[in-house]
This record gives sequence, structure tokens and C-alpha cells, in this order.
Amino acid sequence: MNELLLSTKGLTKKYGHHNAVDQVDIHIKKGAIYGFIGRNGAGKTTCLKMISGLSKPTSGTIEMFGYSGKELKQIRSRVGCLIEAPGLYGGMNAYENLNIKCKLFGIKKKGYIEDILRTVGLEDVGKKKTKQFSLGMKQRLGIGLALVGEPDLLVLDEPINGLDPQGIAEVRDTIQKLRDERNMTILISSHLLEELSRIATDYGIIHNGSLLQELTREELMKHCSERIEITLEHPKQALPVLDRMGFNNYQVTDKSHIHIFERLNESASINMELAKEGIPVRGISITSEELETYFLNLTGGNQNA
Amino acid sequence: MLNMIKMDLYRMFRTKSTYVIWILIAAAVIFTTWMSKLDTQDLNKEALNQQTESSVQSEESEEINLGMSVSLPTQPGEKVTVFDQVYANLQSKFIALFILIFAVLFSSADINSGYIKNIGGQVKSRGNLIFSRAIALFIYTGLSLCLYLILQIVMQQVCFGYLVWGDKSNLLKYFFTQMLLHYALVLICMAIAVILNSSVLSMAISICLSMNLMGLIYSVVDVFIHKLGAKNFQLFDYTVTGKIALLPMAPGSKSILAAVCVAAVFGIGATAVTGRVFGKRDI
Repeated sequence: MNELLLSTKGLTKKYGHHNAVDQVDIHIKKGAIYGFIGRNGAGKTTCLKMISGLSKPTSGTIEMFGYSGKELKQIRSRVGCLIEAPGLYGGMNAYENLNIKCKLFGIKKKGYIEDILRTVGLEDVGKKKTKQFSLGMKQRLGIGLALVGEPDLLVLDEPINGLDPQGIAEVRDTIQKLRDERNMTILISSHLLEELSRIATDYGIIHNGSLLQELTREELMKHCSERIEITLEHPKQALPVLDRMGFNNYQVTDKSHIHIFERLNESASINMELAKEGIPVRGISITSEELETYFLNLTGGNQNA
Repeated sequence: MLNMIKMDLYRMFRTKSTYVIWILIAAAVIFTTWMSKLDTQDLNKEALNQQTESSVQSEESEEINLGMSVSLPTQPGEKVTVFDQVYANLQSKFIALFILIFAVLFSSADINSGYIKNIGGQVKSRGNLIFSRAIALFIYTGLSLCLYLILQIVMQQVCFGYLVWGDKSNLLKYFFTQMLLHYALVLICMAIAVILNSSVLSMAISICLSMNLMGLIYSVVDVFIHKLGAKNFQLFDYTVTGKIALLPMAPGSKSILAAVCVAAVFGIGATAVTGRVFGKRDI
């Protein structure tokens, strides 16, 4: 198992009687791109704010880089974040905006700002004021700001929200590049599962303030990939038959379903073998689930998604 | 901390509003000096016509006037001095108004732009961001008042055709004591902007402060305290705006000490409270 860079235990944030975040346990491995998925108002931003040190948890603990509690202050500078808005001064250009933060970190290295601009694909913007930037450019500069000080963990809150397809692709490429070139751990929130699925290696699904599920990319793909779905009364009876037929990649998902993820063209022979053994099959079909459908089913319906 | 100050100074000198406010101060100085020249000419003409009917005015009125009035202390027939102009502009809080507007804009800029969310979690003590801001504002207040003084001297020569300083020692004492009081007022407005987290509301309150509109509230407090037995108590005397308005042209050591004490109490208090609130608050 990979080393955990960040974990939370019972993380809770209350506003009056309302639990915006309720007992959330997140586990993020070093080098992962952790997709934090949830509908609007699910508690994603509140969670990220607590992780970034912008908001104090009502209860629960956060452990980062092996530090927790008051010790966290020592390593806060290792967490770069882009929460809600890119946080730019519209009257200044990209270089000046980055330079403000460089002053805070005491960074005087020549070419440092140019490097960041190159990383986020804004090396050619010149002296253009950021108020004239497109939303995608602003978001990328916001990511650039978060990169100042070489953080080990990058927290990005809905960086693709409101962007057009090209903007989304640019931000996605930037994030991918950061992981590949700088080996950064990235925590990225979104309500667009389909988009996150293109870059994230791990997922956490939050709904009404509670973390419903944490799963790896492979696990999520397994849930959503094409498969033979067999419906039967006693799935366990069918397992020796499947083993005998040489199937290895299958899963008993609940009391009446088996999912087989290989040799999808052999559903008829499976049906025959099961019938031969006297195992009644209620149904057998090849199905797949859209990521979005999976998410909607998990969060209990398709309103406001 | 030093890096935070460098960051705030960089931010300040790269912000357009810094220079816009200075341009407005310059325009205001040109306007008030020119108007005071016209007023002085009119007064001198009137004085010649009505030599026997001179009205007697107390030199330093202790009444609280609502609104803003820039009026020279120069008597008819006397030459207008640089000190007269400085006194008129500073005690009326005319220059303060511009500096306060900047203080609110500067103090809330990083909150409004969302920049604070980018750095708020990465600093060891968020409260220190307030102290660095306070230092940047000190530099801005000092520079603005020095810029004002230089412009005032130039405009005095340009408009009146002569340069009479007035009592130089008192001018310096008055100017630097006012600088301290102006800075304390700036810190109060910074506190209002950060704590209220609303540019519009804090701007409105800051303008009210410079227009003596808080005098209405002070009067209510005065009435209450008078009922308790302190008949001569005036809250205005113990406020920064009150001290700015009432500091005499020839400030004795007692007046200066009282002004410094009021400035220190309000300035340090406002900064400490803001630092504490900002350090604890979710952003």
C-alpha cells in the first residue's frame, strides 16, 4: 500500500445546527490525483477549506505529511490551494500576480515565475492584464499561484467549473503535467465525474456532508465497465461453475448478482453450464453503467446533479 | 513577517488606486488652495469696507460641526501662511478622507479578489497579515501626507505668489502629531473593512468618520454620561476624529501627549482586535 500523504478522521464542520461536513474520513496516497466528487452543496469546498487551513474543523483530525493538530502549522506552506476563485488582481498582469506571492515566500530565483507560467501554459501572455484573461486562463493562473513555493499537495476546488470544452482540456492537461513532471499529489473537487475520471487515480464521493465511498480508479472502472450481469437466487452456487469454466475476473456484487468482466461473448455458454448444473438463472445480460449513472445511483437520484 | 511586508508594499505600489488617490489629493490641494485665495481676497475687501464691524471669532472652536468644512484661520488683512493651509486641510479631515478611502480599498482588496484564500492557509499566523498591512498603510499615510505638504507649499507659491511658512516649529509639531492621528484613523478604517468584510459598508462608515457624523452617536453617549454626573465630559475629546479636529495650532506638550495617547490606544487596539479576528475567522 502506498504511503498516505493526507488522512482525515471524523472531520466535521457545523454551521449552527447544520452539519456541512459530517465525520469525513479521507485517505490520499502520495502522488495520487484524488477526485473529490459531490453535487453542489455536498460539502466539498468546506472540506477543502479545512484541509487547506482556511477554516477550522468543528471536530475531527487532519493528518498531513505525518503532522497533525497544532503541528500542522509547520507544514501549511507545503499545501498550495485554489479555492472558489483564482484570487487574481485584475489590474495586474500574470507576472505581477505571481510576483506578489513570490514576495511572501521570499523567492528571488531568476526565471522562477517564467517557469510557472510555462507550466500552466501562460508563457505568451506578456503584459496583458488578468482582467482581460479568459476564465480558463484565469483558472490556470490561479493554479500557477498555488504552485508558488513548490507545494507537495495541491488542493483545487472546482477548477473546471464554468469552463468551455477547450478550457477544461487546458486545465486537465495542466493538472496531468503537474503530476507527471513535478510528482505532486493533487486533491481536486468537481461535480463533473466524467471529467474527473480522465485524470483522477482515486476517488472520494461526498453527499450531504458525508463521504459515501472511497475507491481507486480501477474499482470505479470495474463498477462502470462492460460486463456480463447474471441475476440468480443463490450466486454462491454458481461460483464453482464459473471457476471450472476458467473465469477469474468476476465479482459477487450483492445477494442476487454476479458481474463477469471478461469473455463477454460467452454469456450463452455460461447460461447453458449453469442450467446443466440445475442452477436457475433469472436473467443474464451484457450491461455497462455510465460513470454519471453510477454516481447518481450512489447519491440517491438524479436531481441537481 | 518581513516577507509579508514586502508583499503588501509590492501589492500597494502595483495597485492603480494608490496613484489615483494621490492624483485626487493633488487635485484637491489645487482646488482648496485656489478657493482659499478667492475667499481671502473677498474677506480682505470686506474687511476694508467694514473696518469697524469686525466679528469676533474664537480661534479654536470646540463645537462639533457635522460635514466637512475647510476654512482658513487667517484673520482679514493677514498673509495666508503654509501653516494656515495645512491646519485647515488636516483638521477638517479633508486629506484624511482620501487616505481612508484608500485604506478601505487596500485592506479589502485581497479579500474581495479571493487572493487571501490562496495564501491564508500557507502562512504560519494569519494575524500577521494584518500587521504587515498596518505597516504598509503607515508608509502610505506618511507618503500621502508628505506629498500633500509638498504640493501645498508649491500651490501656496503658485496661487498666492508668496511663501510664508508661519510658525515653523509649531507647523512641524502639528504636522507630525496629525500624521500619527491620521494613521490611527486609517487603522480604525482597516479594522472596519476587515471585520465587516464589506467594502461598501466600511467605506460608508469611514466617510461618516471623516465627516464627523459619528458625532451624533457621541452626543447620545455624552447625554448618558452627563446623567451619571460628569457634566463636562465630551466623548469627542477622547476620539481620534475629535483629536484631529481639536488639536490646536500651537500644540503644547500636554495636547501632543494626549493626542499621541489617543492615537496609540485606538491604533494599537484596532490592529490587535483585527489581527485576532482575522486569525480566528474562517475565510
